[in-house]
Amino acid sequence: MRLPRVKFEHRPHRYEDGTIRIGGEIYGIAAEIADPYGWVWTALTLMDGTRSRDEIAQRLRLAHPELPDATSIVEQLVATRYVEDAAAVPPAGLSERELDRYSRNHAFFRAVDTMPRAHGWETQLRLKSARVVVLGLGGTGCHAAWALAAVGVGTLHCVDPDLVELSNLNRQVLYGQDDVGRPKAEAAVARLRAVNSDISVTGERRRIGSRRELDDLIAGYDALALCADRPTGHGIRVWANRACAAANIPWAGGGYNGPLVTVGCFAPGAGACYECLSSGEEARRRPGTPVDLGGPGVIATSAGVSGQLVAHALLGLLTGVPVPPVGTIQGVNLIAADHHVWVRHPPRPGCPVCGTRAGGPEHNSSGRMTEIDAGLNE
Amino acid sequence: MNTYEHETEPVDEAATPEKTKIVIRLLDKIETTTSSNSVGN
Repeated sequence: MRLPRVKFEHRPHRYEDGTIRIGGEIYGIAAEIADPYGWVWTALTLMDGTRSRDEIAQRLRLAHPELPDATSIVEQLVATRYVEDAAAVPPAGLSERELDRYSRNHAFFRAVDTMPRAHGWETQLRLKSARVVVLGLGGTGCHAAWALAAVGVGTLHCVDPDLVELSNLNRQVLYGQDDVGRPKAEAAVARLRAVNSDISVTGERRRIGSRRELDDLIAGYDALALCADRPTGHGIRVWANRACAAANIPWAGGGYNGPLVTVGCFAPGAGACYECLSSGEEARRRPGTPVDLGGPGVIATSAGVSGQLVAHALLGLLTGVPVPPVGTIQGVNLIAADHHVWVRHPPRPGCPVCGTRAGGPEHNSSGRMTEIDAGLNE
Repeated sequence: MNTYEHETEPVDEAATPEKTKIVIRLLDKIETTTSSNSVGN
């Protein structure tokens, strides 16, 4: 890092007792630094993008002659998420148009990233090289596909067997009245290409009727956005769980049951798989209670939240920014503001998808997952 | 494509003199707020 600069969004504030607040007010970013001698405050103040690390350390020494190691203060700060390099230049892998198109992405990723970066465009570059299948182009899939295209996922393949119907238009954002009767995959591809011509969008009118067909569909892709609901119940999700585990790619799947919107986020080798979470939830259910698959009721807002949560989970799975909640189901209840869905269960011992690896070295998050915090809570 | 990176400790305690160690403490939920100045553009 040549010219350290505290990120604009993270600019620090010093309280009367000398404590420094940095990173704003948002949980997950905001932090405090104890600074009884004022060394850190001085260093942060000097980090305005006009001085090298050596120059900052030198000035820090002049301001605080008692400081035993000014260089250490500077090096510790530049290793945090709160500092960027003012001398960084955008990478060659993005065109001028892409730099403009994704400028707000860049600011967002810069703010939420937990890692110091060379130039801050690393997340966008990872998205550009990513290849994602969106399976299902209904309420969830339309919003997910739109978000993935808009954010700049480089390759999208959109799959759905159905034709656009008038009753779809209350929530399926990729279609207009002129599309009624047209294959959804065809209309979606056309719309997504119009949204972002800097990415590659393909599609096909196709119904996935077996696990093997899903294996074939995702071959060569980096992630799956599961937005289909047929076969109903666990059917398509179990196929996705097993197919993605076999292909060693992450997936996110979302949907709604009336006002209850949820998304699951899964990656092979990290946390519980879908079948383990479902099994854990099944164990909590009163014996004999029938599975509630909901009805046809859905509005633009519930479909939109569903699809956006799927897309957001995939961003984390593809780039690590933000860190994805792997092995969980999260969501919201749109008729109960105090109801936040956050489902976690440990991998089942012997699970053919993930449990056989429980305790293995790749399960670096297993400790977190053993804390059973299941159910619709918080 | 899978990348899972977690926040690293900003300080190597073994290598840094205690007196110059910076301790950055992420705030808890109760110490933070929902944004009162959000924007929507």
